[in-house]
Amino acid sequence: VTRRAKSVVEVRQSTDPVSSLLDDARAVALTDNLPQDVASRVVPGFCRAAVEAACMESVRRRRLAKGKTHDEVEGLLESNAKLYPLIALALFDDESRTNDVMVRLKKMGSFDSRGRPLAQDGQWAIDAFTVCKMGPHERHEGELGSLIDNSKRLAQAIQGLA
Amino acid sequence: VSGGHETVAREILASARRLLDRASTETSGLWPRAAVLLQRQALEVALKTYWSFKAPGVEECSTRAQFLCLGTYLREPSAEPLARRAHQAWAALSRAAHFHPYELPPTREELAAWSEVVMEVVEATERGWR
Repeated sequence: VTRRAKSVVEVRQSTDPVSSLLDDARAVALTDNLPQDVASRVVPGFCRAAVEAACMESVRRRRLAKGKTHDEVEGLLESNAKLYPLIALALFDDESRTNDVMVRLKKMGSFDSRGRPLAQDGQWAIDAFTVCKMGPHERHEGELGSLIDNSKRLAQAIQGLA
Repeated sequence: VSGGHETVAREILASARRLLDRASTETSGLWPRAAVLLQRQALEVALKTYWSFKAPGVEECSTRAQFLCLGTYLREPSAEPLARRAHQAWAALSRAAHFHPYELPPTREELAAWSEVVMEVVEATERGWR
């Protein structure tokens, strides 16, 4: 739900936050109403939010399954809101292992459209993570479609973590 | 500085403003996050441009440190309060840029208020280096 001037309310049907944010990223990249410069400045921020949402979902599911309370889990997420500790929590269940994040991403395989592994080179994951980390502060000079695709693969890989 | 008459910071902020003012089916629902991201970039570009003219290297410091320095460097009576408000706006924009599962996106009024602070910073920093 968003609210415009004079209390005009916009309501959208949404599935899950990760898909919604990635759909938004693609909509921004494709819309004719926005100059390309604007899309290049905005899309990385949507991709980062999608990866953040995937990390939160993974951490929440794992911690709740271990018997932690909702309060504890939300408190943990709130105090690790920055991307590095958040993804470390998602990957290792340990927010302090930020130095291991890139090594773990490098080991992420490539998957086909049905989620089957294709290779063991996670450079795409490193590229997506790097843009998600710094991209929201600047204009992304690369191709937006592949950024969105790689962010989606990264988000899905994180969602699939046990 | 862009090739035209407008600076990059002003162009980015104008793009954010258009998202606030013009409803469109293509940007329905996504315009608050897009506006947040653009406003924060406009603020950061204004700071970066200012430091590149006035004190190269300061842009590498933390954003908090940059706002503290800005209050001193801008030789205007209202510089320190402006720097404080700008830091608050930057922090609010940064919070809004992250994903928060239980929070509504910022309202148009909140975004318009942050936009005004960013414009004040753009104007003050441009007076400093032009």
